[in-house]
Amino acid sequence: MTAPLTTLPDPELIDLDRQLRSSLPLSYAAAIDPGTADVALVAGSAQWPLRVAGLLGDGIARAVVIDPRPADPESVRALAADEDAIVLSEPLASHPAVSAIADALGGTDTLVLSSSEIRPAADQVFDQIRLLRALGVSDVRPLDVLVNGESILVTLGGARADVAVRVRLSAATTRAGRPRHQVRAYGAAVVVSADLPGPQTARSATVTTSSPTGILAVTAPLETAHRVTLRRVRRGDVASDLEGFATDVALFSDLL
Amino acid sequence: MTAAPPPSPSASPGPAPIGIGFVGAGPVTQAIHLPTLARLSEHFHVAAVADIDPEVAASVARRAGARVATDLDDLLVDPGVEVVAICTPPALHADQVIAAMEAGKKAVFCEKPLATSAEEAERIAEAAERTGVPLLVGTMHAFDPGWQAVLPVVEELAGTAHTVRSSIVLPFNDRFEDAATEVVRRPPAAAPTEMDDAMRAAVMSMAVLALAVHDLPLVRRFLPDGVATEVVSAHVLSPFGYAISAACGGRAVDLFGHMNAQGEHRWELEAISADMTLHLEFTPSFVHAGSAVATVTGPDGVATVHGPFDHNGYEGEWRVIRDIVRGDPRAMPALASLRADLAFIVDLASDSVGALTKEDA
Repeated sequence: MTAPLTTLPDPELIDLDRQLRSSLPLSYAAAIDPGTADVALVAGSAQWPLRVAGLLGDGIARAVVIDPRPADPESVRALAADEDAIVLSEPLASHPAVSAIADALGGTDTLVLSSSEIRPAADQVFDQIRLLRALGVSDVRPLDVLVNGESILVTLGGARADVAVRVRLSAATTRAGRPRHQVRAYGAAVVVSADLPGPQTARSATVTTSSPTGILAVTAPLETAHRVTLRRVRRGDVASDLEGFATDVALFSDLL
Repeated sequence: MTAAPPPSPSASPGPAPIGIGFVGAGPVTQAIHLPTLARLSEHFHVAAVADIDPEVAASVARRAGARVATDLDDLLVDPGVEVVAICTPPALHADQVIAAMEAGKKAVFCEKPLATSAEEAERIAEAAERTGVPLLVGTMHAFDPGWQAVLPVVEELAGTAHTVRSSIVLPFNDRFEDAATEVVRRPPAAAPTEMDDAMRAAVMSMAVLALAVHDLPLVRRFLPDGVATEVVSAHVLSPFGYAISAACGGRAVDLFGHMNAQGEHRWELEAISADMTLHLEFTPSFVHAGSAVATVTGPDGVATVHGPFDHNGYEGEWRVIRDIVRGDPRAMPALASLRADLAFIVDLASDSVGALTKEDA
């Protein structure tokens, strides 16, 4: 059994760090000496690329950016040389159900991502854009957008596995209930659906695929997005696409 | 003329069942209305059936214990036909509804869409006002007990909602038609044609008037009166569907519909405000699977669930017809509301066609 990796969280991530380490006690431990920490947990608020660059320059082996928000694309691209040391952990794109959803999307050409929660609609739309990339949608271009204070509706064109897809993003701000993030995909003879919870809960998501022959349901592990990320970091099998992140920021800026 | 209605299955004496005359005996009549009326047999009997296909008319009339009518005029002069149910292709609705109202029937029921153009909508509204004959449109969700149970919440959200979402995802009709009944002679499916601009426009118009229409009167309840709805974008989806973004009085309106060859259905309407969400999940068309389930959620996370109730909106709309004919003035849909619904639907269809772009190629 190898020694746990040590973590150094940003101040606003202390509670999250404690929660994650308590559920992965053999994999992670608190860094006693900040200078020798193995993994920095970086808050994804504005200017996070600069913070990451500074940490890596100070000798941190790996930086995990928790919930990275849109940042200057060039500052993101400037981190490309250190891409192997940087991990993005995102509320939707890193959810454990994403791989099952992506596997189920064959035969679909219309995607609808619909969210409602307390965060501003723009924040929700950015997470949806990132989820699109995680689901393998590329060449995304805006077709139209409706911004209405607490609500945003977006239509995008894109491609997935050489199939043209139409994407609909819908985000609404509300204090009512818990966060809801619906993923729906449609094709001539298939419907895929999944409801993703927010990153604060390990509530499971079931990916349902309906076709003329019946229904297939796959339940994702009961695990939060950030815990999934830390386990992958421990295994060394996480790769970040910073160029993709920069591209998504540019798309988001074009839309809003 | 029509034979006397069959004796009521109920032992208790009550008013004689109301005679219904159907013009149009296709899958909607066969799968929806006849089974619904059979559930309400103490209140209704099918007096006459007319269809452009005489064999279909004969078959449907036989199963309903009704006579075969030659055409609409035959129904209109039959005193045994107290209520005319118009279930013909949409292009025929306006003229047939007006004729039925001018014939002085006790009520007229018309399947959606009631009108396909602003001109038709105005003619119908004028005739309704002139004749005073009650007119009820088959937008069954408006009569769904799940929706009816949350009308006070709807009234509150009408003033506070900032987002309204309608999502209708269904298999093609034949799947649920066959689950509801044994259909006699389904109309042939249209042959695939090239999706040029004209076809896209036709598909978008049909998508709004035949699919989105089910929930547009409900959507309109959350929008401010007297404020025009602006269609920001409209897209035709394959194999059949639509994605429409619209804005009205500070509300964002998200309309989505998709029909395909798989088996699942997901029919949802949602209104969202800063502090409350109302979510309705409806049962599919044709089958009698009970009412919608309405969930109201507040900022404390507490969700109140209404339904499912035993009967659905199809039965709900016929119960309203029963109440109208029996003389309950409260049951009669307000003409102003009917006009507003009509205008909203027709304008949305027209504006959505206008919003189509080359991107849909």
